[in-house]
Amino acid sequence: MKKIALLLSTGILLSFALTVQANDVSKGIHVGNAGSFTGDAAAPCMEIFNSAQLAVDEWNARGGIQGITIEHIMGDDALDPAQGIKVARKFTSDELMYGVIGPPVSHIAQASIKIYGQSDLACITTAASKPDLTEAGYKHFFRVNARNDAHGWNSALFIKNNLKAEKVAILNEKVAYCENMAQQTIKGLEKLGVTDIMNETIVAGSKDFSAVLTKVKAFNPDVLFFIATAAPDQAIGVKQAKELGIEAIFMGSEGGRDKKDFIEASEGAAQGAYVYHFSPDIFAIKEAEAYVKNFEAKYGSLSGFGPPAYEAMNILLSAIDMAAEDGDISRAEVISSLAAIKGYKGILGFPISFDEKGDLLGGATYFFKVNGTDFEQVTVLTGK
Amino acid sequence: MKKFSPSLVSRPNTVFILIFALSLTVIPSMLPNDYWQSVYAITGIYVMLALGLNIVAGFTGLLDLSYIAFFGIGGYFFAFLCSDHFGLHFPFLLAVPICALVAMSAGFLLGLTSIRLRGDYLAIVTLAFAQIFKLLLLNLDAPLNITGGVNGIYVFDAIKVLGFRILTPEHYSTLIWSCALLVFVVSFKLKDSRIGRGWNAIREDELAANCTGINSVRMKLCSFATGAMIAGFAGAVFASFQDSVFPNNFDFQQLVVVYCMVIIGGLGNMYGVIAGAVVLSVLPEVLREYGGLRMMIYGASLVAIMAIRPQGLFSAIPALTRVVRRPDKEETGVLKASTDLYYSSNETPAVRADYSRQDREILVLDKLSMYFGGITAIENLDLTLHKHEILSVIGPNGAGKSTLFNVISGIYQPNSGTICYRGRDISHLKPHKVVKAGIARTFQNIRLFNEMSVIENVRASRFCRTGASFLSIIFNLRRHRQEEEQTDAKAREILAMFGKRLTGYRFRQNVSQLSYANRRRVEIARAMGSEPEILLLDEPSAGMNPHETAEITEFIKRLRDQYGFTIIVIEHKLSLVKAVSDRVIVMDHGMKICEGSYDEIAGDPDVIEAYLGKKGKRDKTSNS
Amino acid sequence: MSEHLFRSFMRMEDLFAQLSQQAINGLTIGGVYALIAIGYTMVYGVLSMLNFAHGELYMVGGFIGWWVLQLFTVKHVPVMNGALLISLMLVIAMGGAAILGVVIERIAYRPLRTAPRMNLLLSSLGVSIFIQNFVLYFQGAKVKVFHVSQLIPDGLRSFEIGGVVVSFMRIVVIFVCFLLMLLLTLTIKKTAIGRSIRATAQDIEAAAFMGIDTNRVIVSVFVIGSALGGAAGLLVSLLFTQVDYYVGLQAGLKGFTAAVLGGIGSIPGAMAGGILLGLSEALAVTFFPSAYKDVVAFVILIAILIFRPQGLWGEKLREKV
Repeated sequence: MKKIALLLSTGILLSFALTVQANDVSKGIHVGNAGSFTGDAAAPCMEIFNSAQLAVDEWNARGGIQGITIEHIMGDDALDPAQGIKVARKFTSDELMYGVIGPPVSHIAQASIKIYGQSDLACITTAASKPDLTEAGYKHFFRVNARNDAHGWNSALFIKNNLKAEKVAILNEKVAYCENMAQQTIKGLEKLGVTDIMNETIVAGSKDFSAVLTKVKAFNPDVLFFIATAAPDQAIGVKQAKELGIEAIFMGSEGGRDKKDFIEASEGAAQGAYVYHFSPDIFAIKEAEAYVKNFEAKYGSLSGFGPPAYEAMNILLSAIDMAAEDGDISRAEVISSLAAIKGYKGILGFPISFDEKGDLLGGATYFFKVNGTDFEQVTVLTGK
Repeated sequence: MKKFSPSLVSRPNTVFILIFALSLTVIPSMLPNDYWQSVYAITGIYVMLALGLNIVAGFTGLLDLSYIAFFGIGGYFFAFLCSDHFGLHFPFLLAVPICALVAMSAGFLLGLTSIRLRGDYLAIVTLAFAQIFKLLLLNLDAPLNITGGVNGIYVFDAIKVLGFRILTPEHYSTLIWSCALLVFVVSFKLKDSRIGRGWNAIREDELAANCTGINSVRMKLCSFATGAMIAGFAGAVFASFQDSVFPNNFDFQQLVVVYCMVIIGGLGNMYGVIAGAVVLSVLPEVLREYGGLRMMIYGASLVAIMAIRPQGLFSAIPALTRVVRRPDKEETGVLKASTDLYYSSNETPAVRADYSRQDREILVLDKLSMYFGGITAIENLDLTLHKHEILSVIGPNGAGKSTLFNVISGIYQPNSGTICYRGRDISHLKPHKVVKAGIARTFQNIRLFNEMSVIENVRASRFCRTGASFLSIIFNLRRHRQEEEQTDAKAREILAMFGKRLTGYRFRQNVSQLSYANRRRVEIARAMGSEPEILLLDEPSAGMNPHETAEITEFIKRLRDQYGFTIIVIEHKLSLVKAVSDRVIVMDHGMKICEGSYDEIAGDPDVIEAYLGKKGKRDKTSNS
Repeated sequence: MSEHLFRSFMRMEDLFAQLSQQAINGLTIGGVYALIAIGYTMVYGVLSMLNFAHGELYMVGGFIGWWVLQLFTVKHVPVMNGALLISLMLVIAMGGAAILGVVIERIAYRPLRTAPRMNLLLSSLGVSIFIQNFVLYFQGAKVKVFHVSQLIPDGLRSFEIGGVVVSFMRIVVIFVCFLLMLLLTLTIKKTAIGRSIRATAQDIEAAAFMGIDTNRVIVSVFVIGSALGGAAGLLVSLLFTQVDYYVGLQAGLKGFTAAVLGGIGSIPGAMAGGILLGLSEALAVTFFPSAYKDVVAFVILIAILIFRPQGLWGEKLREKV
C-alpha cells in the first residue's frame, strides 16, 4: 500500500512538474540539435549542425535573445533510433530548452517524435521527408522541406512529361527516406501509365554499384532515377553508369544538387544529368550570399543540407524571441509562435509558412540539369 | 562437515541484493528527470543482456556473435504481438514469455546447425547469421510487410502489469530492474548447479568435460538457448520501453557494446558484468555532447583496459569476491610451521571390505584396430579385463597405449573390432556415454578444469549421475536440492580418500594453484566422481618424485582393495607396475607382444627387444 | 521473383554479355577482397586472433593515397607521369599502412600476447573504433574525392569487347592485385622471412625454440598484411574515386568473410576466397534482388563452414589428446 502511495504521489508530483513550464528568460536559453553526427550519415548531419551554429553565432553576435546568450547543444544519435530516443529524453528534460532542430533522418524522427510531443518541445526538421511524420496530428513538429509524396509525384510528372520516358529504372538506397521516395515515384509513374519499371536497392557507402548497374544496363531503361541521401554516392552512380555504357538519362535526388561532390566529383560524367531539389539553387540566391561565404570560410564546401538548417534555426530563434518578448517563456508559447510564422523570408529563395500539420506550405519541386560545372534550373513543378 | 558449508555454498552477496532492492525502489524516484530515468531503464536492459551473454560467453566460453539477433527476435515478436501492425493485442504478461520462448527456439535451432563448430568458426557462423538476420529485418517488408523494413514498427500498446499502468520512464525503470533481478537470480541459480558446472567444465576443456561424463553438445545447446531466451526477454521489454523497433537496434555495434560490458566486467563474474553494464551505459551519456571525440575516448579506453587489466576491470574486487583464506599461511603470506595442524581430521572414510581379482570378464576388446591415415596405432588387439583386476599396459613411446585409452573412452572410433563392456558393444559410444556406462579415465597430460576449484572439479563429475532439470534448478525443487547435497557429500568423501592433501581449505582453491602431484590426484578424484566400475589411469605417476610415486602406488592398490575399482593403468615406472598389477600387457607398434604376470613378462625376450632394441638391429637398418 | 528471373533470361546473348560484365566486376572487387583477406589470414595464422582493426588500415590506405594525390596535382592535373604517380601513391599508402599496423601491434596486441583471445578481439575492436573516429574528428565526415581522370591517357579510358566494358582503372586494379599476390607468394615460398612466417604459423613455441625471433615474425606479418590492406584501400579509392572514414567497416567484414571462406590461416585460400566472394556477389545480383546480395554471400559462407568447417583450402585440424 505504501508503495502504491509512493508511486502515486511521485506520479502526481511529476505531472505537476511538467505542467509548470513558464520560465524566466534570464535563466538561459538552450536550443538542441538532434542528428547522427557519427556513423554513416555524419557528413550531412554535421553540415546541418554547422549551419545552425552559424545562425546561433549571428544571433549571439547581435546580443542574443533579450540579452541572453543562446546555447546550441548537440545530441548525437549515431543513426540509432534507441539513441535518438535518449537524445529526445535528454532534450525534453532540459528545462531551458525551447526548441530543437532535427532529427533529420526520417526513421529516427519517427522513433522520437512522441517524446518531444509529450513535453511540447518544438522540432523543426530540415530533411526528414517521410509523409507520415506530420500525419499523426502532432502540433510540435514542423518541417522546412517538402514531403516525399509531393516530390515523388512531381518527379514522376517530370520523368514522364519532360524526359518522355516509357521505361524507368529506379535505384534507391535502403533507408527510410530513399525507399519512400522510390515508392512515391513508382506510384506516380504507374498513375501516369508508365508501368515498365525496375526497382533495385543499393547500400550507401559501399562505393561499388557496378553489379546492380550492370543489371540496369541489361534492362535498358530510358531514365535511371538514382535516389541516395548523399551527393558522393550519386557521383559514383553516374560515373559507373557512364563507364558501363548505360545510355539512359541519369536523374539524381535532392542530395545530388552539390557542385563539388556531384558535378566535380563525377569528373564530367554528370554532364546532362538531372537532379531535383526542394529549393532553388542556393548559390544563385542573393540573400544567401553572406551565409554561403561564411559557411565555406569556416567549414569548407557546402551541399544541399546546410541552407535549410540555417533557415530553420533562424525561424526557431525568431519564434523563441517572439515568445520571450514579455520576459518569460514557455515551450507551448514557442510552438504557437512557430505556427504563427507567415511568409518568413530567409535565404532559401521562397517564403516559408507552415500549414496546420506543420508542413511547409506550398512546397514545390525544382528540377535542374547539369551544364558544364553548374546546375541550370529546368522547371518548377507544383503537382500539376 | 557443517564446519565448511557456509563458505562452500555461494549465495548472492547480501550487500548486492540490498543494492538491487534499492535500485528497484529508491533510485528511480531519486533521478532528476525523464532523461536520466530513461538512461537508467536502458541500463537495466543492458544488465539483462550482459547477464544473458555472460551465460553463453562467460560460463560456457562460446563466442556467440548472433546473440544480438535473439534480442532482436524478442523485440520484433513483441512488436508483432502488441501493436496494430498485425492487429494483435496480447497482454504484456503473456507476450513477454512468448517472445522469450520464440527467441529460445530460434537459439536452439541455430545452435543445432553450428554448435559442433569450434571456437572461431562458431564465432564466424554466428556472425554471418546475425548479418543475415539484420538484412532480413531490412528487406522483409515486401512483398508481404512483416518487419516494416527500414521503417521498423512503432507505437505499441500501453502495458499493464498486475494492475499498474506502466507509462513513464520511472515506471519502466522499476519494471526493467525487477526483470534484471529475475535474470540475476536465474543465472545465479544456474551457476551453482549441475548445469552451471557442466558449462564451466566445457569452457575450461571440452574434451575433458566429455570424458567426465558431460554431454557437451547438449549442454552447449542448452547454454545457447538460455542465452537466447534471456536476450529475447530483454528484447521484448526493450521494445515496449522504446515503443518502437528498428533494424539498427539490433546490429553489430550493439553486440560489440554488450561484449565490452561482459569482458570489461570479467567473463563469468556476474557482479563484474553488472558493473560493466552500468559503467558502459552511463559513460557514453556523460560524453554525448562531445560528438566525435566520444567514440574516440571509448575506443582508446577499451584498448587501455584490455592492456592494463586483461582479466576485466571489476574482477577481484575484495568487496565483491570472497578471498580464500589459507589457514596454513599468515596474513602476510608466510607459511606457518606445520600445515598438517590445519587440515581437518574428522573426514577419514570408513575402511571397506577387501576386494580382489575375480574371474568374471567385464571388458572385452576383440580384434581392435585403429589407423590414422596410413599410420597404424592399434592393430588387431585382443584384451580382456576381469572384475576387480588391476591391469597394467606398458610399452615404449608410440606403442599405442594412450590411443588404446582414447578408443575405449570413445574419443576415437575404432576402424575395426569391438569393445564389449558387460556384454554391451560400446565401441561407437560418445565419450560421455562411456563414462555413464561406467568407465572413467585420467589423462597423461593432466586436463583439469583449471579455473575451477578442487571441489568443483569433482562435483562436475557428478553430472552424469544427476538429472535435475532446468526448471528444477531455477525453482530449487526437491530433486535439485537432494542431488546437490549428494553431489557435495560424494565430492567430499572422494577427496577425503587422499588423506589431508585435498581437503580443508583446498576445497576452494583453484586447481591451477595446486602442485603437480596434487593435480594428478584431483584428476583421479574427478574420474572417481562419476562412480565408474573401471578406471583408466594414464601414467598416474608421471612427473612425481619417488616419495610421491610410492604414495600413489599405495593409493592405486587401495582403490582396488578397499574401494573395489577395476583398473587399467598405463605406466612407465616399473616399480609401480610391479607393485600393483595382477596382470601386465606389453604393447609395441600397436600390437600386444606379451601378456602375463609381472614376473613372466619381465624375462620375455620380445619385451626386452621392444624396450632396448635388438642387438645389432641398428646396424642392420643402417646397412639396408 | 519469377518475374525477376524471367526478365534476366529474356535473351541468351544479353544474359551472356551481362554475365561476362558481372564477371569483370566480380573479379575486380574480388581481387581487392583477396588483398584484405590476406591480412586477416596472416595475422590469424601466427597469433590465432581476428584482427578487427584490419579494415581501418584499408581506410587509412585510401586516405594516404588521397593526400599524396593532393600533393602532386595542381587543379586535378598531375605534376608527373600518371603511371609514376599511381605507383608513388601505392608505395606511400602501403608504407603508411604498414607503419600503422606495426604501431597497432605494439600498443594494442603485444601487451595481450598471453591474455585470453577474447580480450585480443576486444582490443582490436577498440583500435577500430578509435581509428575510425580519429579520422572522423581530424578529417571530417565528408567524402574525399580522387580526381584521377587526368592520370589516364585519353584514348585508354575504357575498352569495349562484345558489349562488355572494361575501364582502364579496372585493368590497373586487377593487374596490381595479382602482381601483389604473386610477390607475396614468392616471398612466403622463397625467402628466409617467408620460411620463418610459415614455421611460426605452424607452431609459435616450436619456432621460438628453433631460434626464430617470433616477435620479428609477428611484426613482419603485420607489415605485410597491413601494407596489402593499405594497397587494397588505395586501389578501391582509385577505382571508385572516393574514400571516407566509414569504408573500413564494410570492407573489413568482406575481407574477413573471404578469409574464412578460403580457410582462415591459408594464404592461397584467402586469395581464392576473395575472388570467389567477389564473383558470387556480382552474380547474385544478376539473379536475385540486389537487396539480397549480402544474404547470398553469407549463406554461402555458412553452408561452406557447416559442411567443411576448415574452409575451402584450410587444413583440417585434429585436436591433440
